[in-house]
Amino acid sequence: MLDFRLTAAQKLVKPGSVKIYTDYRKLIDDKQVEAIIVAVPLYLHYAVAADVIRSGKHLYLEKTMTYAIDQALELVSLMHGRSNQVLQVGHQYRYSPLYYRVKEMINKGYLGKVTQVDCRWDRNGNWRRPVPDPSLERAINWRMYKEYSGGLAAELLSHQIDFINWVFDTHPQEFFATGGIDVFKDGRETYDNVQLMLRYPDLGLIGNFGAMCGNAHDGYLFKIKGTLGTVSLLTDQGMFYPEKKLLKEKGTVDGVTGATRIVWNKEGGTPILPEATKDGTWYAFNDFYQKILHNELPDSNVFTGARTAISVHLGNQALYSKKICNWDNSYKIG
Amino acid sequence: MKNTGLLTGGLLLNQNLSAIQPGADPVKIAVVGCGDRGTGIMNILNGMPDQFRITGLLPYAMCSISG
Repeated sequence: MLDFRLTAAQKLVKPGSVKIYTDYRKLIDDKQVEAIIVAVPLYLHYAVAADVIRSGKHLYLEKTMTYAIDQALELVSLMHGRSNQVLQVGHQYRYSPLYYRVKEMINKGYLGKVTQVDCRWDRNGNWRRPVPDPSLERAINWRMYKEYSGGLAAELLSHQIDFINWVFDTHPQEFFATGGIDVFKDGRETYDNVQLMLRYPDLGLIGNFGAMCGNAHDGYLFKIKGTLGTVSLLTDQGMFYPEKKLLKEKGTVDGVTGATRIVWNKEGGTPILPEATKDGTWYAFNDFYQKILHNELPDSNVFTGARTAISVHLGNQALYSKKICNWDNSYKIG
Repeated sequence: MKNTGLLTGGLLLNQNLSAIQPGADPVKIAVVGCGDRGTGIMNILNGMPDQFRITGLLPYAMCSISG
């Protein structure tokens, strides 16, 4: 038991206002509980989520939805016929006003034909948590071990992979990847330097998804590049950079930005929204509440969650096997 | 102007969704996992008292779940 974690969590609630459990099955059986948030290490997602689904309670399941492909397909199967039960997966860009607007811009053709996506999620640090006792190394730093984690792709890049799946209502077909433990040779198993190249042949689109622990200059980067312009996103704000040929058509640019007065930065970009958005989790939980209230399917649901989980797993398969992997069309997602 | 409406659609939609239904009770919710992500989520939920009330907690314990 990680007692210090419980101590930290208890500081966030009024004393005596919550029950503390040591067995998740007893928590699930508590008739007072209407909905359950599962935020455990990735390899445990399936076991806990499956039991929550069987209990009939609403479930908010953190991303990536599952550790393995067969588990993703099994959760899809378990949710069959459970239309009164909400399962929302924690891919929160689907609820962000900024990312929602970018999806609209792309779907309306304002970027023209999108052929490349560049994503990064970089840091200059070992991605470790402090360990008070060596015996707790694997429990605390589970992200370092393949047995428990999908590494940088599952923990970070899955958000951007999911966004592209959502915008284009698709998934990658071909998976190329390379990487290694190139900076922190500290006993970890998951790579600290990864590059996934995903191909969406029906769209003529290449997605470049990279993350590393050895340089923080780019930090978070998400660029979507079309024949008419580029969208460059942070998690809470974004810019639109029209191509030169679009600038010649002033009216079109006015329409794309929607601003009453276009403000350009030195690089020739204009903000997509006038203000930064809130933390994406807030929007996601707001929608979770509404979906429970109105008994509706969330935008980030078991089907989309499975599609993204499988995309991540195939990316990781390509990464660790050093082979090109392909989407298997026999996956039954619905 | 036509496109202005379209492009603010994302914001408007999300604002509409945030409207609390009159008389609706907060959802009683439990959190399984109290690591960085779990406690971050609890902080967010604490800021949404009209929508959620945390009633249960399970700190992450590998041994209790791995079976």
